Amino acid sequence: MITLNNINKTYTVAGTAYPALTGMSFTVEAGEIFGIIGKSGAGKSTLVRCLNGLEKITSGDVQIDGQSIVGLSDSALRQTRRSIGMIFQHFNLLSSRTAFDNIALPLELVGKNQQAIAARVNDLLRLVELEGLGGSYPHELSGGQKQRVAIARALATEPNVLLCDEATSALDPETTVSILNLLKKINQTLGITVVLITHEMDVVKQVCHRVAVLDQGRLAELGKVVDVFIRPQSDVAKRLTQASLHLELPDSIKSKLHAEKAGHPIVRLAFVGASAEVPVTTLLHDRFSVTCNILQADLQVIDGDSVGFMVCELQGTQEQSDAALAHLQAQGINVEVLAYVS
Amino acid sequence: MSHSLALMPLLVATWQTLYMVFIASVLGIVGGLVLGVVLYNTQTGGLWAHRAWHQVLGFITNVGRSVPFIILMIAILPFTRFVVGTSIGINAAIVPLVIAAIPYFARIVESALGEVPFGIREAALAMGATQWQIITKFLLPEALPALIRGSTLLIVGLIGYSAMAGAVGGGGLGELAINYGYERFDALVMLETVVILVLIVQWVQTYGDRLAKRPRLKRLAIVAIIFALLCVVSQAWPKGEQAHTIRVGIMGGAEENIMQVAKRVAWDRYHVHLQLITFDDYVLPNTALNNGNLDANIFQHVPYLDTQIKARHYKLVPIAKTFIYPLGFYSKKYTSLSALPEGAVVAIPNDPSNEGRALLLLQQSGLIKMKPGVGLLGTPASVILNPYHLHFVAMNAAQIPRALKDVAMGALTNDFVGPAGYTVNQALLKEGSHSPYANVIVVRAQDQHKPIFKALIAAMHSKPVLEKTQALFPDGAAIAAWY
Repeated sequence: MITLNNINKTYTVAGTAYPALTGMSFTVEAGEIFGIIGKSGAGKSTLVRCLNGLEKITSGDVQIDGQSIVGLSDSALRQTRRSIGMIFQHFNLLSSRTAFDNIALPLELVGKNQQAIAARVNDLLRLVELEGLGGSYPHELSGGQKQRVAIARALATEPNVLLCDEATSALDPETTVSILNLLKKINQTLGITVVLITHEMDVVKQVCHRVAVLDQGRLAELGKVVDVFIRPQSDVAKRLTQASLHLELPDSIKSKLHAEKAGHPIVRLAFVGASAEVPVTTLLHDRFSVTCNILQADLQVIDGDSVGFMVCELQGTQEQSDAALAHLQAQGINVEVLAYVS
Repeated sequence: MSHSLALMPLLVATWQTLYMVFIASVLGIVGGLVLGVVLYNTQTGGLWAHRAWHQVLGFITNVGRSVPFIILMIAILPFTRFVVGTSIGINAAIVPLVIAAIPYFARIVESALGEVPFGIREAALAMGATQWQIITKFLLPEALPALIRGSTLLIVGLIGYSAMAGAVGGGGLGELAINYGYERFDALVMLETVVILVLIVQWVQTYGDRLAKRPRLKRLAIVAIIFALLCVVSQAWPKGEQAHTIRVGIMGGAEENIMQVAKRVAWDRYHVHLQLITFDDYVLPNTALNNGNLDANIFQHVPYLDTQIKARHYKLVPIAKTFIYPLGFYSKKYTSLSALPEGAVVAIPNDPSNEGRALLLLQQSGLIKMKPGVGLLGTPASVILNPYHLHFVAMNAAQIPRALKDVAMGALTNDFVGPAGYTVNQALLKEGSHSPYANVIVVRAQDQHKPIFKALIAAMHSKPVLEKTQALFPDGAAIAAWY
């Protein structure tokens, strides 16, 4: 649906070049919810704005639905933008218009008549669960309600792509969940491709199918969300997923850890799907005489699937532990040795 | 010297102020909106970003805002004449008001648009809005409360500027306050006009604040259209007999009272209508007469007229004399010239008609000597002999009565002798009845033989006018010069 081909974006301020994006290439499939995550300054906002031309790329190609948007004339670009909806962190609703009129605005811009507008806006209000609030002004609505109005507005011209720039960053956790659920519902019922920018892994975890991890303007990692969580390759991804998983070890234990391969291994096990059926602790004890001392455990729901995590100390001889770990891996459990403790 | 104004002139002046301010505000807001939108969008990051244009327009806007209003008014007289066909009158006063209003409101618009959050523009672009749509459907509506508050500022500012409309014979409350309150020392009139102005400003500000909170523009638009119709009607209203009308330029001040009597005499006896147009300075009445915006003026003496004709090549001639108003020197501290100490401070008028005249009078008394040939154009710089080291301070003639406490002596023209609390007899030094400074009726050279002016001359020489003048300027403060 959306293809980025080796795009570079450089800002030039007073003669100095600041590269914002370097050599970015990936594809967003039609109908998926695609997350883009990174720290502040990683280039996420710039990247999403390159997708609808709000920022112009310095080199490379961006294709939406098979058509390149680079070098389009102004009027052609405007036309393309009408099939791309966008929502923002601070909503960007017009304070001088009611919720109804805000949603109607994109339709007014293309010259639809009053009846057509009214019918469509009412449908949208129902879709975002704001029936009855059409006459309210933005200052009378809560943050979550404002974002719903913004979503309705973005969907008014029936786009096939929805860009979300940190759409939940200004909302409290509960409201964030409800908005993400709404986006999921829209993706499932209308089949709209969603590109979601965020700095919170929790958000990616909840709704995205695949995620691209950005670091300093480059693509650090790309994959299914589950895979990135269980087997993060890049440092950035590791740090981000770690922050989202509640697997932090207490200081009393951390102080005893060392990287040298001596003593008992501290391992992190991740279970997805069928592998979650394996009775790990009993298996380790009965077959390998290894006592599994559980230090931390967490159950996460990632993209609708349950994923279990366990951090434990394997108390046994080195041969026994090695054999046990090999067996677990064969069962489809993801094993990562974090450190050793004497 | 206070007497209450009749209600009619007060109402007329109020209407004049409202008329001027309304039209200037509407044109200023419209023009300012256009210029402001362009200024905003030519800046870096704007819709029509163009650095050179932005700087050029910004410079022009700044120039428009830098020129003091009274100077602007006079400086653009040729332009005013081009636009409304005359350089005097209420419509002429509107032109500089609009020129001042447009850059002022443009900056307000630019600032109001700049306060609209950047995200709104992003959302507009993301929706595929055209540049025109971004301005009209996003930026202006979001900036509306700030624009309304800015309009209120503009209107109140224009009310203040309209007070200077008197300089071009524009009328209005401000001119009334200056002419009566300042020039004629009528404190009650000053108070009345100030009260009305305060009420108008209060109402504008209150209504503007309320409108900014809830912009309901439809009702405002209806009221504005009705008012605009009233303005058009007031200008188009047939003004009675036009055939026998003489437009006469006079000074605001005591002369007005005398001219009212002359006007009555001209109508009663000769069925000639004198349309009186007042001025605050001594240059414009001649310019206006020369250009055909007046038919006659009565305010100056021959020596002054001669210097003006020489300098500006006017084609004007005096056709009759009216009164001599002797200039004199008065003092609160000394009773004779010989009592003046060395280094005494002497106040003289700073206007071209009377500055040189005052110095020449002093020369006559032997206290100083002027450069030969400099005549009426003399200034303190033309004094070549000053044995008593008199220190001259030139100031507004109306200010001298108020400054007498602070100087050794000051020159007063007849208008100010009474308000200063003197009679002409108390002057330390004054012009005599053989003074060449008789005021004259002046017309264009080509018109001098027109019969209608005979009525004007006869009215000016009539007994009622003579009596009124001598009532206002007793004890030899005005001497009839036509005998």
